[in-house]
Amino acid sequence: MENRSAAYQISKDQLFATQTSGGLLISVSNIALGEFEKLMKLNGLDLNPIGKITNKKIGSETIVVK
Amino acid sequence: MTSEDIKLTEFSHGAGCGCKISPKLLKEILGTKLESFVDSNLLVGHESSDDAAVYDLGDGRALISTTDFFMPIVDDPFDFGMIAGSNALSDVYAMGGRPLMAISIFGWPINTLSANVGAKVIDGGREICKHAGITLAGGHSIDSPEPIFGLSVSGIVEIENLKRNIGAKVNDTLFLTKPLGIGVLSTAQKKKIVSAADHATAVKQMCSLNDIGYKLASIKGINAVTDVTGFGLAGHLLEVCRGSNTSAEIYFDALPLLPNILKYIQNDCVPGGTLRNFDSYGKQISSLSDLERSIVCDPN
Repeated sequence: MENRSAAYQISKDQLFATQTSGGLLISVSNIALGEFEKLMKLNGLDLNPIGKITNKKIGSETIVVK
Repeated sequence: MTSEDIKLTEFSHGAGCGCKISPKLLKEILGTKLESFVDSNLLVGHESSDDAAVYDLGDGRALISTTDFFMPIVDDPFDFGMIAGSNALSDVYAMGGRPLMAISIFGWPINTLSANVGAKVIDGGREICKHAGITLAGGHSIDSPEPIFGLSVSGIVEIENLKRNIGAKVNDTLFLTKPLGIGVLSTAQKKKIVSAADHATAVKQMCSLNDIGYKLASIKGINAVTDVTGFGLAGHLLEVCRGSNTSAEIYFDALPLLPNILKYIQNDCVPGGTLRNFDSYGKQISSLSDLERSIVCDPN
């Protein structure tokens, strides 16, 4: 576990880091994905999914990092 | 001293959204035993920690009201004005609205910084308002120990297009429209080790408007939108989850990062806000037991 890549550690750090004038975090349902991705491309934004919304987990962490 | 020699970040103890008060402390400050006035036209108040307040105008539209201001995150006064303005405008776009006008909030240490430098900050604010298609219509200024700039922005939204930070649904896909790493690059600037190219990338990103939030607002099935600022990606996602009664997964490998972040982190350019955020909500995020505290938390 100690030899996790530098990139992995950086990503962890960036989960908590302040982002002045940062981007929008957008939660998109499956039915809207096509139209959403078309609009992003039209505006020069090449985005990949960074996560998904899951069922509420009682008694454990709210966000699971994979 | 000419304005070119001025390094604005040397006049501030915090930088940009790093000036923000921690979620934990803020909860204590905003907590009240007083009975609040209830206005049924207020569609979004402070309860859900959303990006802006929203007021039903009764004709299918709602007024959006927000303010955001902070101490310098860059040395150049014009850039600081642009960035603080863009950051404040973002709250309107994050609600799915478009801005109507802005009022400036301006604090200036009049004994240590000249009026000429202050004028450049305001000009940066005017310029970003122009980009957004609005006027910087007024404001208020005070003599303060550190420079402060920001905007109060009014905006408008069709209520059916209102985007909140609650309402996310299970199986929604999450997207982030700007790469992470601004805090690291601004700390590197404060330490005077940032390269000109990396600094320019950071400034350009911070000045770019989140107007995509307005453009996407009419798409059905965009269930939640929020802007990622002071509390970091995890902090703002937690607010979404809390308000939507869900949990979430983040794919580490897919997180977009600004270039050369590693180099600066290895040079201890970790912003103070990272530790503050970690202390506030770190235990709600999984997989952090092996976290290198020195990397996440300690800039020294």
